[in-house]
Amino acid sequence: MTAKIKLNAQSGGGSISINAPSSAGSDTDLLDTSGNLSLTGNCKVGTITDTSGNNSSTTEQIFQGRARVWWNYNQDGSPAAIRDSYRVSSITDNATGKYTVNFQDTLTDPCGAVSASFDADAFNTSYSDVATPYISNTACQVITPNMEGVPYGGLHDCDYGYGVIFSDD
Amino acid sequence: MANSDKRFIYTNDDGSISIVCPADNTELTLDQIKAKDCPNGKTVYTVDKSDIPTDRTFRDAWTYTE
Repeated sequence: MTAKIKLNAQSGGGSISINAPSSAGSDTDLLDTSGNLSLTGNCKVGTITDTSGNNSSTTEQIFQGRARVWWNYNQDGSPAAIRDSYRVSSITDNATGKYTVNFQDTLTDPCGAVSASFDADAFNTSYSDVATPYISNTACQVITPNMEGVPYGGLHDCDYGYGVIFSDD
Repeated sequence: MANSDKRFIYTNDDGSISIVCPADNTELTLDQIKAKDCPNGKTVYTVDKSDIPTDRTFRDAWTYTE
């Protein structure tokens, strides 16, 4: 049986208090003895705040500010490989210093940023770790030129390629 | 078998090759990734990751034949 608690808005609304149980039991899954709330279904809320009612975020703000896609790519691996990713279907090694991140989903008006480090030393002055993207609805093309090398701006592979993408949907 | 144990290879119009590394953290299958991320009208080869050379010194000169 599904139980529902409903507030009558005509009487001015109100609040529901759920007291933490004094001891754990099989029928206290919703709230544990420390006051932690557990929900197994969807939670429909408008705004989330901290326990003092401050630092509020609407669900829209959270959604808009949440990365839709991110990746950590070893462009110079043996072979090139994805270390970890989120909502990436694949990464294409196009050539030296060129790769394409293919998104699992089609995005609307995506934007984002990419970066690269030639090796495990961001302070290595032999290399200027530059990455430049073009982001479409379905993929992100990245080039990684070495702005310290000869020829200047020549493409090279980096051990660490990172990227995050945001979108409206 | 993880998705990333495989690679898809196709030859570009300029004679170079592209190598697609499928992601593991995805809801898509290898076949779905191949269909979505490899170009239509080109022959796409599926190979083991271990078939890819580990020395990338001459990466832009790589070609692929079965």
